[in-house]
Amino acid sequence: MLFSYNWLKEYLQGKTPAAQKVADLLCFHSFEIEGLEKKGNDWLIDIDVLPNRAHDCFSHIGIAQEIAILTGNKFVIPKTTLKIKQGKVSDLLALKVESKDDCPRYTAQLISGVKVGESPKWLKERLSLLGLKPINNIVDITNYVMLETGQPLHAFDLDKIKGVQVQSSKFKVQSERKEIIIRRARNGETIKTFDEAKTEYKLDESILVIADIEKPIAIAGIKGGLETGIDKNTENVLIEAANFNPVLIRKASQKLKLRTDASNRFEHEITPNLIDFSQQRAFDLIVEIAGGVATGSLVDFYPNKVKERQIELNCEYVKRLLGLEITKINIEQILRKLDFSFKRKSNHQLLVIVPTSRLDLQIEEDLIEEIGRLYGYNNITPVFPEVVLKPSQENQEFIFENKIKNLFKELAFAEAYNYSFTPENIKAIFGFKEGELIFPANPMSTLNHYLRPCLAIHLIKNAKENLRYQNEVRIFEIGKVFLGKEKKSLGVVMAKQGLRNKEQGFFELKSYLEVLFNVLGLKVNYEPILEHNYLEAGCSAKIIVKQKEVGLIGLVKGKINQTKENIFIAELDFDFLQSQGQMKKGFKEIPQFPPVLLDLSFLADKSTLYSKIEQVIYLAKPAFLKEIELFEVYSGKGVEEGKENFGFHLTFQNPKATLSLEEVNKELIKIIQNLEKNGFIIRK
Amino acid sequence: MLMDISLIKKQADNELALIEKAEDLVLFEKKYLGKQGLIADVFKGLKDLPENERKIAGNQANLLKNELKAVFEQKSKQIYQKRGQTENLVGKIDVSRPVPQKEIGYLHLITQAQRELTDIFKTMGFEVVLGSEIESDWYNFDALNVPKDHPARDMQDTFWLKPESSKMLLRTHTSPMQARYMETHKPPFRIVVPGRVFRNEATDVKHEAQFYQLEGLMVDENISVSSFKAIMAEFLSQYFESKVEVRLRPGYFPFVEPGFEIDAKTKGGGPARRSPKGEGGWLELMGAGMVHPNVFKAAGLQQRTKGKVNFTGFAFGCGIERLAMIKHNIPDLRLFYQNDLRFLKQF
Repeated sequence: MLFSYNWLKEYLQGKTPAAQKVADLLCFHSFEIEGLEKKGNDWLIDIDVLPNRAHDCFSHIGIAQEIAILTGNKFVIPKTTLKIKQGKVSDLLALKVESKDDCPRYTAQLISGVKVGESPKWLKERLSLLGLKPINNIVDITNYVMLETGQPLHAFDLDKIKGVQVQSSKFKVQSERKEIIIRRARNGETIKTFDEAKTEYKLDESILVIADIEKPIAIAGIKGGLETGIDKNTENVLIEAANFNPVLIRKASQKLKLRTDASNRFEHEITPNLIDFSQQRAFDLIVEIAGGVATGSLVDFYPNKVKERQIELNCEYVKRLLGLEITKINIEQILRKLDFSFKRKSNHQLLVIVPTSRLDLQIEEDLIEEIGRLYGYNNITPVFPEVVLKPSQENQEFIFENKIKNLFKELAFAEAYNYSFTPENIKAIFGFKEGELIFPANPMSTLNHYLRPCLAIHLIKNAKENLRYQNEVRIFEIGKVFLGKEKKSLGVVMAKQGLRNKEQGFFELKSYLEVLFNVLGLKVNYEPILEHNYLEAGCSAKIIVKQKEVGLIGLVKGKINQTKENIFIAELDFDFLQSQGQMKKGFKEIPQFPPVLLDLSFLADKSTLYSKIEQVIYLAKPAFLKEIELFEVYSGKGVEEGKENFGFHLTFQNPKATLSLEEVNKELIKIIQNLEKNGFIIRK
Repeated sequence: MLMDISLIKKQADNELALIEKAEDLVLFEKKYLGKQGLIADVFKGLKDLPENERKIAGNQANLLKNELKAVFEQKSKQIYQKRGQTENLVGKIDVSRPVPQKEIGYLHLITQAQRELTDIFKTMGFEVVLGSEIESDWYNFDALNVPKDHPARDMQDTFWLKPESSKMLLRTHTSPMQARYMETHKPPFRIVVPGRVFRNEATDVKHEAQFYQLEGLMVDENISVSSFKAIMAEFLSQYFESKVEVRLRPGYFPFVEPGFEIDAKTKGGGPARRSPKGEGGWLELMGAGMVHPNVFKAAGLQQRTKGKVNFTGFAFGCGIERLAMIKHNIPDLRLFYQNDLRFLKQF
C-alpha cells in the first residue's frame, strides 16, 4: 500500500528521520518495504502491511504511529475545530439496521448547503500521488479521510434519497423524513454503482446493502450507488461512516468481483471506534472546503460498544519464548512506547490494556511479538537449545524411495520431476474414463487441467523432446499420480536414435526392470497386452506380481509418439513395490561342487510363450536344476513351418556333492517327458 | 649404392644387438624402417641409378628390408617376452585419441537438495516425515489457525478439487504435516517434511504452480527465538558450505506467533553474491515463527497446565528449489520441471 512521506510527517512532532531511514526502521521492526520512490519533494513509500496489521495500518495515521514508536518522535493527531453534536436519533433521518451482526455500527451526519466543485490543489495532488482519481471536493474528502484514518466513508446526495412525508417537520428544506435501512439485498435487486462504467450489479440475500424506502442505494462497505451519488448540483449530503461484518463484505466482494479501497479495509476488519474521529474529521474538512452546516446531530447506531481488551503478560514467559534476557523495566518501557497502559499484578505478571484499534492483539504471544520486534530480533543471540539427545527415527518410505532412485541412477538413468498437471485432451488421447480423473475446480488452463493419472504422459514427452539433442534417452521418475486416488508411481522411459528393432528395445527396457525385481526379491510374470490406449499391442505386457497387475511395459503407440524413433515405457505401482519388495540381503553359501551343464533343443508352436515352456520344465520337478537359460530361438531353414526351435542351457548342481552324469540324465528325462507330454518335439 | 646397403645392414645389426629397452626399439624402427628411415632413403635413391644397377640395388634393398624386419621382430619379441608382454603395442595405439564417455545416471537436483537438507537436519535429531499432496481444508487451513472466510486464506492461492463440496485441495504448503504429526505424537519432537506443494498462480522465472517445500518443526520445553536463530544459521551454513548469518524481520503467518521472515547472508557474500536481487548482501529465504498456541490446541496438545507453559516450538518452511537455485546459480525455476537432459546431467 502506498504512503506519502510528507503526509506521514504531519503527524510526527520534531525532526523526522529521512525517508530511507524510516523505510529501514519499518522493514526491521514492522513491515517489508516494497518500494521507495522520490516524487517531487515527497517520497512515495510502498509498504507491504502485514495482513494482521491491516486493522490499524491501512492508514497514514496508523503508519505514522508505528514510525513514532520506532523513531521516538511524538505522534500528534490533527485537531478538529468544529464539533459534531452527539445524539442518537434525528427527526430528519430514520435509521434502521436490521442486524447488528452484519452492521455493528452505523453513523450518518447530514450537512446542508455545501458547494460541490473541484478540490483544492493540495487535496487533488495528495490523492493523485496515492493513485486515487480526484472527482469532486465532497467525494475527495471522504477518500482523503479514508487514507488518513483507515475508515472508509461514503457521501450520499441527501435529496436523492427517498423518504416518507412527515407532517410536523423541523427541517425547513425538506418536507420528508429520509429513511436509511441497512439490510440484506433481496434476490433480484440490482444497483448501478457510482463509477465511470456505471456497472450494474445483480444482488442477492448474501449481500448487505444500504437502502432507502424503495431500493438499495449502496453496496454496503464496497461501493455507493450511482443514483444517490454526489454531482455538481448537490447541496445537501449525508456522510456515512459505518462498520460492517468483515466476512460478509469479503464474500460479497468476491461474489461481485468488485474490490475497492473500502472493501479491502472492511474485509480485514477495523474497529467501530475508528468512526468517531473519522466522522469528525470529514465534517471539519467539508465545512472548510465545501462550506455548509451540520443539520442535526450525528445519527449513531452502536448497540454494543467495543471496549479495550486486557491481556495478561508474564515477563518470565517473554524471556523464555524470545530466549532473551530482557528486564521487566525494558518490557514496561516498550509497552509505554506502544501507548499500552498496564497494571502490575505480581512480580512477573502484568495486565496489559490494548487499544481497540489493535484487533491483532488477542493473546499473550501477540504481546511478546510486539516486545520482540520492537526490542529488535537482531538483538537476540543465537543459542543452540538444550534438549534430550535422542536420535531421529528413520522414515522407511523416504529411505525406500531413495534406494530405488539410487538403483536407477546406477543403471545410468537420469531422474525427472514432471508437472502434476496434464492437459485436458489427455482424457481422449490416453483413454481415461470420466470419474477416475481428479482435477481442480479452478484449473490454470486447458494445458494444466487434470492431475496426472500416470507418469507416462510426461515421460513420453520428455523422451521426444530430449531425442532432439540426445542419442539415447533413459529417464525415470518417482512421483504421485492421481487415478481415483493419490498414489505413488514409478515410471521409466527409454529411447535411442535409430533403434528400429522393436523386440530389442522392449527386451532392453525389460532387462532394467528385471534388475529392480531382482533387488526387490519379486517374482514377476509378463502377460501380452492385446489392446491398449497408448501401448502397441504385441510389443507390450502387463506386469503381474502375486496375481496382481502392478504395471505395464511396452512400445508407445505411433499415434502418440509421432516421431520416427521408438519409445519404450514402463510404469509400476510404487506403493506395491514398497509394501511387497524385500530388500534384505543375506549370505548364501557359494557352491563347492561343480555344476553340470546340458543343452536341450526342442520344437514348439510359434505362438508358444516362453513362460509356458518354463512352467512345463519346472512342473517336471527336476531335482538339482539350478538354472535354465534360453540361448536361441530359431525358425527358418531346417525347422518345420509354423514351428520354432528353442535352445536351452540347463545347469544342474548339488550343493552337497558332485553330481554324476547318471543322476543328471534321470532328471533330464523327467523334463523331456513332460515337454513331450505337452506337445513339444525334442530334437536329438 | 651396394656399399651403402651393406653398411646400413652392418650398422643396424650392431645397434640392434645393443638394444635392451622398448623405447630404443621404437627409435630403431623409426631410424631404419620408418617412412623417413634409412631404408626408405635407399629406395628413394634408386631412381637416380642407371637401369642395370637399379635392378640389382633394388633387389638388395628389398632383401635388406626383409632381413631387418625379421631380426627386428625377433628382437622385439625377445624384449617384450622378457617384460611379460606378448606383443609390442608401443606406438601402435594412439592413446591421445578422444573416446565417448561411459554413461552414468543422474539424480534430479531436487532429490539431491532434499537429501542434503534432510541429512543436515538428521544430524540435529530431526525426523523425516512425508505427507499427501491432496489435503483436506481442515489440515491445510483450519488446524493451522487459518479460519474460514479469513483473508489469510487468500495469501496462498489454492487449487480446490472437484467436487468442491469435498473440501479437498492440493496442499498449499507442507505445514499440514505439523498438525497431523502433532495429533499422533507427544512433545518433544523435531521433524522436517519435504514435499511437493501447489499454488494457483502465474508462472515465471521465480514462480511455479508447483514447487517443493521443506517444513521444519521443533517443539520442546525451552525452544525460543534464540534457539531458532542458532538452528537456522547452522542449517544454512551447512547447506551453503560457508558461514551464514541469519536475520529476522517481522512476518505474518497465522500458524505462528511471533512470525518472521528470514534473511540470510554469508561472510564471503555466499548466497547473496549469487543472487541478482540480494540487497546489501541479504537475501530473503523463508517464513517462520514460534508455533501458535491455537495450532497446538487444534492438534489436541495441552500447551499450558494451570497457566504454566509446558512447551514451546518453532516452525519454518522454505522452498527447496529456491535454495538450490541460490546454491547453484540457476536463473529460472522452470528449468527444474522441463527435464532437459542437458540440464539434468549438470548435477
